[in-house]
Amino acid sequence: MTKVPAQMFSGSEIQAHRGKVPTIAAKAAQYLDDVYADHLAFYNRWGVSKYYGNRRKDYQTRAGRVAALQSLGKPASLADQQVGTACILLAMQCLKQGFAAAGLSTIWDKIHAVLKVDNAFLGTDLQLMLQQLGWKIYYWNPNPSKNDAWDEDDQRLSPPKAGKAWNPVWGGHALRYKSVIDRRVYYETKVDNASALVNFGTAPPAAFKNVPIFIGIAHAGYHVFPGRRGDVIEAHSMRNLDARDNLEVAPFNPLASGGAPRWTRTEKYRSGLIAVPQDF
Amino acid sequence: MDSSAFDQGVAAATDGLPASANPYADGTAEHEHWIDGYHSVVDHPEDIEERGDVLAPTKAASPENLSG
Repeated sequence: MTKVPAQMFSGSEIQAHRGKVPTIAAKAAQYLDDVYADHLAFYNRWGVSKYYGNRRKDYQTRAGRVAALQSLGKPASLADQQVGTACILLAMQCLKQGFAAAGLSTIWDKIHAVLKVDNAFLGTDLQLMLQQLGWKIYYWNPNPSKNDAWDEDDQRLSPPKAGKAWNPVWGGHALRYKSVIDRRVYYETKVDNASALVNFGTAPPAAFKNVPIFIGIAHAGYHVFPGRRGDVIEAHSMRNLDARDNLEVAPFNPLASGGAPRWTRTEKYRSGLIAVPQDF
Repeated sequence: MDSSAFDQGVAAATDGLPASANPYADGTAEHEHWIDGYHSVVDHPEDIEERGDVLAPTKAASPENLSG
């Protein structure tokens, strides 16, 4: 169950946020661009990533990162420049910067406090809170006619663990699509728009490129991906230090070659939700 | 658990600071708690797994089981 309280923002907070959306969006988008540029510059110089995955136990200590760097023939001193990252973390970082630039850090602090309950940090909760501030929730699914086949693919690629009936990487595409169509609900989130980002195949609507900042989730929050003006800028929490794609940018286009959110061999993101600050 | 050190680690992570920003001396409990906080801001598949159980295909034949 979500830990997001109902109506957690006052009318004046919602109004203040509404007036500052352009500032929030511009700063958050700039932050994403800056982090990605920083990542590329570091990687191009050193051949390892400045941004390491937060879930990698072997990278969580300096000694661990030094060992990894040395195994790759890199200077140990790079460990002191390295920054932990994860998909939800990048989304939070850009929004924190955006709200701060707008003078609305008190609102962000309320959001952060809810995300931090039980150290859950769920992308679905983040979207719920943004929705309370006036953001719109769009269901995305490029080809619902494939839902059943995608579900079968998910279950074949990632069988459930022993004693479990569900694997968190699964999209549950058919079930969640039915819920969206029948009830306008995706997991616990009321969907505001169930058409604009549905059935677009490999040609997302051109208007999506006008969205100045967005926060997406795939597969009920298994993956979180921020982005701006049609491009996803996403972070990953389990990849190797020498992976250039610990951070990556690609057009939002889940089924297209080179599109995003990016897939791995077993993580094929094919439906979810995107929060946008206003309709497009 | 030193909650302040843990929370400081969380704050450093959300500020995008490097892991070397840990202000506590190596080998101290606070140092470890800061590291734990710094690396706590991640996706949590174990939590998501619980929500997945609600939607398990074997349970989803009836509409009341859809989407939680």
